[in-house]
Amino acid sequence: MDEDLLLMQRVAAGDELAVGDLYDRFGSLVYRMAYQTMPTRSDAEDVVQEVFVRLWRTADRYDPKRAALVTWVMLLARRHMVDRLRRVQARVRAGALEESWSPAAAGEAPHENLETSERFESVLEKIKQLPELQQIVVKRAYLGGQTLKQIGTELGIPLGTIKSALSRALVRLRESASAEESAA
Amino acid sequence: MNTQDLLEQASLDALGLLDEQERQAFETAFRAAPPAVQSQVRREQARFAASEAMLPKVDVPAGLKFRVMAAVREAIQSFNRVETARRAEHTPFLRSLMWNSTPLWRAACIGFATATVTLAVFFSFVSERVKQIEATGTTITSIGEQAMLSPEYSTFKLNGGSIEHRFMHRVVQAAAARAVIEINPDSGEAHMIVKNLPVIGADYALVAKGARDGEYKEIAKFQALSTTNMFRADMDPEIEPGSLGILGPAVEGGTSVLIMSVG
Repeated sequence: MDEDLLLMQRVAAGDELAVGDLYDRFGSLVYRMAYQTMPTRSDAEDVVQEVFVRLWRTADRYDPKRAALVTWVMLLARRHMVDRLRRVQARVRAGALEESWSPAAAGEAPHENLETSERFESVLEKIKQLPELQQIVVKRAYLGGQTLKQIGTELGIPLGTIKSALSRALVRLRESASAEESAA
Repeated sequence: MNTQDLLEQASLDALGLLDEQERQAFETAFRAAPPAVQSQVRREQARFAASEAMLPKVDVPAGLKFRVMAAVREAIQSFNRVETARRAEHTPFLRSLMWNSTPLWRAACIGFATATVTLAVFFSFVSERVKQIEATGTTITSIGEQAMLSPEYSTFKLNGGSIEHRFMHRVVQAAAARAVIEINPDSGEAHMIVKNLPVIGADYALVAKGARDGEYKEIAKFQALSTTNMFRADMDPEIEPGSLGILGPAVEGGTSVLIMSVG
């Protein structure tokens, strides 16, 4: 049997060791995503706990034919974070990201400014290397949490064009990161 | 959605950037795609999901694993408590036996107790009535002698007579038959206690001898159901108790003979 499927079956059965294994594999990825997405470090830690509870609740629905386990985990995590941000209306403002990013302008406490810049500094550097439309779409969709339809409507650009731009941007960002890792 | 679109949107789906409608369209297209394309989409999505290109380089706080494990454990325990309570509430058969049917069981018990008391009162009343009838009623006694031929057959020989009647019925016992009858002189209602009739299950008749012609006339028919029987009959109050007799069951030849009389 598929190892990932076996792991999720154990998680679904409430096997704590399996939950520990799941955390060991994906805890770091989920936390870094949460750290980037949530307003504060504390919120990020809370949301990681919520994501793993949600993973336990939905473990019996995991289908390895549909997606690799990492895809399943990260997709669930991302959706949970976006939902949570929308509920508390505390997500990162896309407008601020599009312009010169200013944490102070976003109303964050001074001691969090450093954290905020750390969250986006590296990715913003990479994003700056993209064509203009791709930059806008990545900032609004990935970092800002806007839907593609919203972006298309606001910019007056067809949805298909937005999707293509975002897809190409993500591929370039991933390739850029891989190249950096290889060089290092 | 063609293969190119599917692959293009694979990254968007993996990163949760599609809305619900777009995601469903993607899912439908994915399931309809050939297995090779599906594999390619899965690999592409896994690469994006695991990619750290867009993520900040930060260390995971120490103790986060402990808190995550505690949160999951709490959720599991909470779920188990709710599930246990839910099962307890939805154990339909036992539950219905214990609670839903309680009024039924209670009613049955009350009914049974009531019936028991009623029967006890009834039998007590009957017993007293039998004693009263036997003490004050007119006695009808056997006018012949019964003899057992076998467990199945018996004979009945009239006292002082030469005629022997053969009862072709199962015989229970051959004890001396006796009956006591009490007649209400105002209403003509009669109650009769009959014991040890020769053949149980056979038909008998209460008869009265005519004062002028001396012929026996039937007043009521009855069937002996056990060794002691109690009957009720409506009689002419003018009938003389001393004229009463009981006809036995039909014997060989299809005739009935007087087997018991008063005096």
